[in-house]
Amino acid sequence: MAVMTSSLVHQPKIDKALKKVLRALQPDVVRIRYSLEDNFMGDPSIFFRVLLSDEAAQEHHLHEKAQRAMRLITEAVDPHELRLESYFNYRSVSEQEELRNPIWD
Amino acid sequence: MAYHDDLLEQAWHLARRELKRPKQASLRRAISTGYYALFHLLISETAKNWKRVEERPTLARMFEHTLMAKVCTKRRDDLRTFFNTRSIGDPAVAVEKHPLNISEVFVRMMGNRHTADYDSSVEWARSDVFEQLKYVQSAFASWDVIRETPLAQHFLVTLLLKERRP
Repeated sequence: MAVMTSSLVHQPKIDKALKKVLRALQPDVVRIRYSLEDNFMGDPSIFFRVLLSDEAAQEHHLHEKAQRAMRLITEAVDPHELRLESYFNYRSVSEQEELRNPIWD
Repeated sequence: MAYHDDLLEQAWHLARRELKRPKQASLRRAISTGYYALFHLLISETAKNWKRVEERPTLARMFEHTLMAKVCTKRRDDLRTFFNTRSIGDPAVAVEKHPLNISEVFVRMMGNRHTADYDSSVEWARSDVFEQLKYVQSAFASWDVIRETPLAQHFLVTLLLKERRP
């Protein structure tokens, strides 16, 4: 019930915020997707899926790029204000081509 | 090296095990091992304070994952509120950012561990595992900075405490 309420109420705000922050994160971040569901402890949560360019996902600067993405997304969406736990997952364009999970498309 | 350091090293080894096309078994075990590295860091640092060396393993077994996550979630939320009232140059921010980091990473990695160990529908990418292990590494580094401080020792003890009704 809590997650459904979050979906209905927050989705437009989240979509708008992500559209704006994606512009600031390009070209390192190619796409951002998310899901609203309860985490393993039953807390309403937002799960971000951040698709990185292959260049940004190279090991020597992956952490810097991922941290920047997490920081800007968190500032834009403010999950804490929405009373949502937040989780971030990452993959590169090449990894997604290999894994082919539609929720990342 | 201590057990928790070995676990973190093993997590990185698993994440890098296959040069190309990493196996899900390797990546998922890497995530789980990374979580347990942080878990065992915290419980071993607490148990070290017990005077009777032979009883330290018994004390270590008292820790509960879910309770620790609840404590870390509350600590994280309290610290975030605290930071909202302080300026960036405030000396207290420079210190308190470390327990905040440890709390945040513990909660995040517990969720990741749960997914890695139990949700076979989720496939992990190596980039993702690298980044999650970097978080664990940063939590270890934060602990190194604050380990001897009263705030760090208080944090350890609270990991054992069940919430009492007022």
